[in-house]
Amino acid sequence: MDIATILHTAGFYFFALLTVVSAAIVVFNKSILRSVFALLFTLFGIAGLFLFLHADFLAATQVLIYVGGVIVLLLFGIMLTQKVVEADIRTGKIQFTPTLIAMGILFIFLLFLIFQTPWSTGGEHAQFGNGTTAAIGTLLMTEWLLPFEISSILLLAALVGAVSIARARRTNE
Amino acid sequence: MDPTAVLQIKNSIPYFVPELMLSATFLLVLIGEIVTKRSTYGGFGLITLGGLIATAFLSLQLYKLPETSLFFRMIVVDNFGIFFKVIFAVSAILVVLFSMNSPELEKYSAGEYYCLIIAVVLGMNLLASSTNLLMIWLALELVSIPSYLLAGFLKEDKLSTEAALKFVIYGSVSTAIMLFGFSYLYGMTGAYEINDIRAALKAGEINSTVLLITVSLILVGIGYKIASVPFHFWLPDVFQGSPTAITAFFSYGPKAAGLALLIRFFYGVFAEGGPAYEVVGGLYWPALMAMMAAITMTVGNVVAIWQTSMKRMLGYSSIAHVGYMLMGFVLLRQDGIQAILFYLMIYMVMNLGAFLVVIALSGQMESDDLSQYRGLAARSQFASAILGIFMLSLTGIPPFAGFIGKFYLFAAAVHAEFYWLVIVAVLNSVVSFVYYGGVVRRMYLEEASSNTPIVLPSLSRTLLVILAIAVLAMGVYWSPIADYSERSARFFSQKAAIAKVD
Amino acid sequence: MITLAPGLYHYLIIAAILFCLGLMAILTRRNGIAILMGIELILNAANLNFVAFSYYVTRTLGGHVFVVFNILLAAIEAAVALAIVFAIYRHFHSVEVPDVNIMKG
Repeated sequence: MDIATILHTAGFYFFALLTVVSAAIVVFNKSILRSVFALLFTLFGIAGLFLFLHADFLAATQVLIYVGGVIVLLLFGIMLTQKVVEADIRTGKIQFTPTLIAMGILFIFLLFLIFQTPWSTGGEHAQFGNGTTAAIGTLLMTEWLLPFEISSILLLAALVGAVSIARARRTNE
Repeated sequence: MDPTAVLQIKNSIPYFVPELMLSATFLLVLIGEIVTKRSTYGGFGLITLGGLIATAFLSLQLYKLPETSLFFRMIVVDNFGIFFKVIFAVSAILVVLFSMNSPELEKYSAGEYYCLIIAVVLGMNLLASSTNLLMIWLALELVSIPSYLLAGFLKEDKLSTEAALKFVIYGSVSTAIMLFGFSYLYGMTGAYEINDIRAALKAGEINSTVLLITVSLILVGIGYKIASVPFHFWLPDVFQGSPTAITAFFSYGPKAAGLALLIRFFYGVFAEGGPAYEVVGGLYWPALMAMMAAITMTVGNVVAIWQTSMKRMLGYSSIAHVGYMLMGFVLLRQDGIQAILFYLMIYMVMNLGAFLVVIALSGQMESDDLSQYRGLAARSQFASAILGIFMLSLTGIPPFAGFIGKFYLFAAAVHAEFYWLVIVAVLNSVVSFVYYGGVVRRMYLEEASSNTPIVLPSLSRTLLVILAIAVLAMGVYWSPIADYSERSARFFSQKAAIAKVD
Repeated sequence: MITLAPGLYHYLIIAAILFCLGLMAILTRRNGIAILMGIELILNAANLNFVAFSYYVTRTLGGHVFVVFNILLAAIEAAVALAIVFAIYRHFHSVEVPDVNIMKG
């Protein structure tokens, strides 16, 4: 066990725990503001895990768009729609526990799926030698061109519509 | 860059013209609105109509080209796909015509409205033709996201905004769950494209429960789109709150697209391009689908009975009709698929017709409540007669087209030897007479609250006459439509080569 | 199968945990924005699955490309959802889903 492997393993578990614990806070914490910050850490944790999977471009994109964009968006949303002092009363424990149990059962099903499937992991893991960015770029322009172009229309339509809805009332001339 | 890749893209483009036309219309309307700064529902509606008619025409031209798969097997062009392109364009044309005469939309911006509708039509076209998991996901979102915005388009109306919120929550959750299922499917098969997935599933030895879990996750997303039970909870509120023209749009287009996806996905992944289902997940899959069909139609019909809002009632009615159509899906055979396609054509006419009456009357009625329809016969002979035709056709009474449509679906179920399902469907049709007939009863046998006569605008009258004649005509002479649906129940099989047009 | 060193199963388990937590958030929380966060958790779980499969199973970049589009779509959905949330807030002065319930039945 050399130092590199130890660091590698330790690093992985650090990010894994960061992700999972933060996600738990997102779900169970009563304060919406704390939940959003916990989500921030969850997304960072995921970015870290991406790095351990040699997904450099994705890790960067995750930080840029998710952390930089979505979190900021959520924070604005909270700031503009919440009262300053939180008065959050959870709907009694009655609905909470059965859902928790149901989720537990679902999780067991998923574990079953994970362990029973013969994932074909023969051989070594992928070698993305010089980083993935250039390769992804080429793929987006060749094999995945159609989704790329279609998503630009989707982006435009969503933008137009979202601004239209969120804008303050203003009657048509 | 790899020259063969460029060549393949270049060769795919001629097949893609309908969608390109839609994109061009989209941009034209958007830029038009920015440039002119004054958008009317009439003016921009005409531009949109032009684009949609051109799209329909171009879609029909596709029949001349050989069937093939495009853009690195992202989508295919085959009879099944072209059928849906045509009906999406036609239904969108009708919805745009409705919107042009819709009083409630008047004070909102038209350009954005039409842009969103065009985007949804583009998404539906792609959804019915996609053979790649990413493309399916993207097309589904292209249909859903502008829909959320269209549902909430009446910004000043509380109900509309509430509808949008419920829609976006239900929709996003369902599609996210489906995506999670896709991720497992990718891991199991290492493939994105439907034919590759099928090959890999056959070769590998996937535990059947595992497959069941994955397919269930995927069905959450598809079930939400077609609003089958138990994924239908979003529908009544969304239908009630949305602008009525949009409700009409939702009642047909996206559901048909979802059905197309369902058929293509299941057919491609499980049915091995052949006539029958295989056993999936250790379960006899057809039985499960039959139960879903039965539950969906029953819930739709039964809950519709005590609705007081017309739009909500029509919403539950659309759930019921999806249940009927799922009967054709039980055994993925030619006759079942043909029955679904046949019913889709008939359903478009009678369902959208009913909505058009509602829209046309909405200007002169105080609310959406069913009590407003009392004594309509005294106030407008025309409206009540036409609405009566559509209501009876939806029930499935001869000699209207609805009867023939249901007959084909029942025949498919009988052929598949699901006799209990046919009995359930017949009982459901009888039950549906309670609420469809209830509307007719109110119109003809009850007293109106006010006696002012109602006059419908002439464009609406013309359109309604055309639709009503179609319903009556298809009830007696349906063979061209039956032939068309039979021709359309053909899929592109993987064995042919990728586009090699010179 | 399960070793101390990270392998495919570790990532899949983390993703499954995230999925269940996300679903939990969606089902139990009343605040519209909290539900949106639950959706983001599920989408991230799917992304983690894709990248892990890309690394260990398929060894191509197909999974990565899917994730690129996922991130894009998640951002779009969040933006649209928040636009609707703003509109809701203007009408109802609350973003708690139980409060926004005029239509019933």
